[in-house]
Amino acid sequence: MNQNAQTLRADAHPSKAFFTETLPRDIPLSDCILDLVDNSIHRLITPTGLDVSEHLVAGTKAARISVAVDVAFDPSKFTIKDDCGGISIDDAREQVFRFGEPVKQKTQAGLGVYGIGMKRAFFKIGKQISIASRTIDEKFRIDIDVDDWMKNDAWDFPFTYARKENSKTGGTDIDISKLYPAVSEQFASKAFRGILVEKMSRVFALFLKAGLKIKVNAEACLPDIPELAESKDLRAVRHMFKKDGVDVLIMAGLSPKHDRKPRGWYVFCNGRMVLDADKTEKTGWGTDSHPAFHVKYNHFLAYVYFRSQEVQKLPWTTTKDGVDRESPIYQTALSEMRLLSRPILDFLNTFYEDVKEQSEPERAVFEKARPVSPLKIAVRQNTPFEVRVKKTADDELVSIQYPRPNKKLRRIREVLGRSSMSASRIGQYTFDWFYDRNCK
Amino acid sequence: MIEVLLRLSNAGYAISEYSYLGLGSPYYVDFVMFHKYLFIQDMVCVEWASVPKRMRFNKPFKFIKLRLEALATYIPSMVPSKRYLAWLDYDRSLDVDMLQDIDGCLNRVGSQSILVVTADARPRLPEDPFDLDIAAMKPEERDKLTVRTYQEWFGHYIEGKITRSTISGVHVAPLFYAVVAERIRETLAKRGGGLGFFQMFNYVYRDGAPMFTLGGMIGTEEDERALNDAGIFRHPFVRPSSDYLEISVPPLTVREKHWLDSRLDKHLTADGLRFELEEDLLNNYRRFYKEYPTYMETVL
Repeated sequence: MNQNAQTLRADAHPSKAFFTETLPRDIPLSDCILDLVDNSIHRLITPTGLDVSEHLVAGTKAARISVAVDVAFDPSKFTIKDDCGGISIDDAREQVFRFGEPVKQKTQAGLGVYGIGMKRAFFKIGKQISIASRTIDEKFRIDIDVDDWMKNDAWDFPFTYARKENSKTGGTDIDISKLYPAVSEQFASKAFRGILVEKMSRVFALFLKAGLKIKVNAEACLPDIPELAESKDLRAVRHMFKKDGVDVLIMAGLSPKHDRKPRGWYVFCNGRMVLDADKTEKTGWGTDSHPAFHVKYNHFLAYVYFRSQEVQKLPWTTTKDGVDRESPIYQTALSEMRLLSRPILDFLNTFYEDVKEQSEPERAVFEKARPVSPLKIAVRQNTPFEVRVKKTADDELVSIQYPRPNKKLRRIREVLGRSSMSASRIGQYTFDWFYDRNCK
Repeated sequence: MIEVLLRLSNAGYAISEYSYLGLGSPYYVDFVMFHKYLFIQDMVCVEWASVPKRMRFNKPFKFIKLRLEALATYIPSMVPSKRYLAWLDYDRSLDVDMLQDIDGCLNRVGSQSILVVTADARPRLPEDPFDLDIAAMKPEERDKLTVRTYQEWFGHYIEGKITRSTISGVHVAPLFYAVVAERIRETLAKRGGGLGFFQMFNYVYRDGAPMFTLGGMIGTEEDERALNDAGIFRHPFVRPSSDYLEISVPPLTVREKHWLDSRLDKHLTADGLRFELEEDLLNNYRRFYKEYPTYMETVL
């Protein structure tokens, strides 16, 4: 059959199954719940102009906010309630339930970026969703039965009610039931609550410090911001630059000696953490001749804060648990991250010199350093990483050289089982062996 | 190199106003030369050495800022967007630390800066990262280790695999050139802003250990046009491609040099000299004599 190409059309309509079944696969349950908290915070930011990143850099305190987000779940239901201002009926009609952020909304501040987080969370968690929201002068409710919605062709959600009504405060309540079995199982797990609390404590740390209260099954999330180690002889680097409407603040140094947790890079967009203690190529490890993460770098601790009034310029992914590595602003930041971190990694490398005593002065500087909040470092001018190591004449190394027959070196290699051990290493090994047994 | 850099003023680049960043040696030859011939006054010497007193004692000019630290530590202090003449003159073979230095410098220097990298062109591994007596290894074992290490360090910068034949020559300048050139290209591509690298120097210098040098300007298309219009790329000492200029000059005493300089013309042959010197070395000297100060001439 020969058809006229001009009359042929390839169907490009989206399918509802893509949003209800496919997209939710790309994100773990805990991150979906974080997305819902993002939405609560986003509704707070627009009317109040809250900018936790700006306060971080300026050293000012955000006007204390007294709002709360309560997350509760059990194997049969999930709820999230906030008093962050609510959603207007107009916004609900035109924007909030769209799949994808309308183009006209591109330039805005806050945490709402792609217009997908809330819907994806709904479809991930369960099949019966109720969203009721109130502002100070109106309220609405929308009930969604996913199975029914899938059966018809319409892409909208009818309002259960929408009316003018005054309230003291605005807020939103979301209830989800008919949970998916895998979700029920996770909600039944005791560990899941702990994981969620821990995650929220880090992801929303700056907002928690500004007064936001988040509870998960009645357990409060407290801000968790790992501290950097500093002293008069050890200072973290602080570097800020602006590019294409985005402010980028980088702080890097060492975590304190008592901090046993392997750290890495913590990346934030508009105050919300998107990468947590990253040790992968996402933050430059093992790329462009930069070393891969190693246990000797466990005390490397660094922060990158991206901030912009235009959320689309920030390098976050749709799941907000990573970064868009192709983003030009992220590429620029990554180059700075690599070059600013090198002196710190070089310093950590000195802890592993061949001669243990050679690194004792460096270790002494590290051990004397005390924890400092990154919030205190953020307000400084740009300063490089600094470490002052004092070495005395006793710390200096003396080279010892003496000849010995090759067959004796060969025999030592055989005994130690190290056939390629260098002559200098053999000398060091035998020296240390005698010293440790007779001179300590 | 100085002859080419002097010509940049014809293209509108006030090289005397650049900041010079050099790696240290107690002789400070490059600092003296660039101050004397290019009139650069803003200079930084970065040296991570165990001879701080010697470095301070031998500093030829008060205005040279001496930073006794690793280049990796200094790079974050570089002023972004400042124009630098940065000569990373290493005395060892190419390794990953150098590639990181190059990446770091390129992310800080301003447009129209000049970056030059020099390294030992022999395939020699550093001893430190390996718990092995490399010098005592059999040649086949050493070559295997070198191939494996270079493949890990440099493999993704070049096409094809690194094999024994890659490292079997007297020097591996073509390999090091390819790696450094690609590192520069990748860094500038990620940096954006339409910046490119306009290569001017690709030398292999043989005076004892073979040394390879790659250098050029970081700039925009407008800079490329300016350099072209000023005839920079047509200068006999400019090599804008992978074909390197081999510089091999004889080691001469001060007296021999002065004697040659007073008599050097196209007719002078090796037979006419009052001291032994091979004909091809004499020809090389004839070609490069202007760039050939002895250490004594430079530091006095």
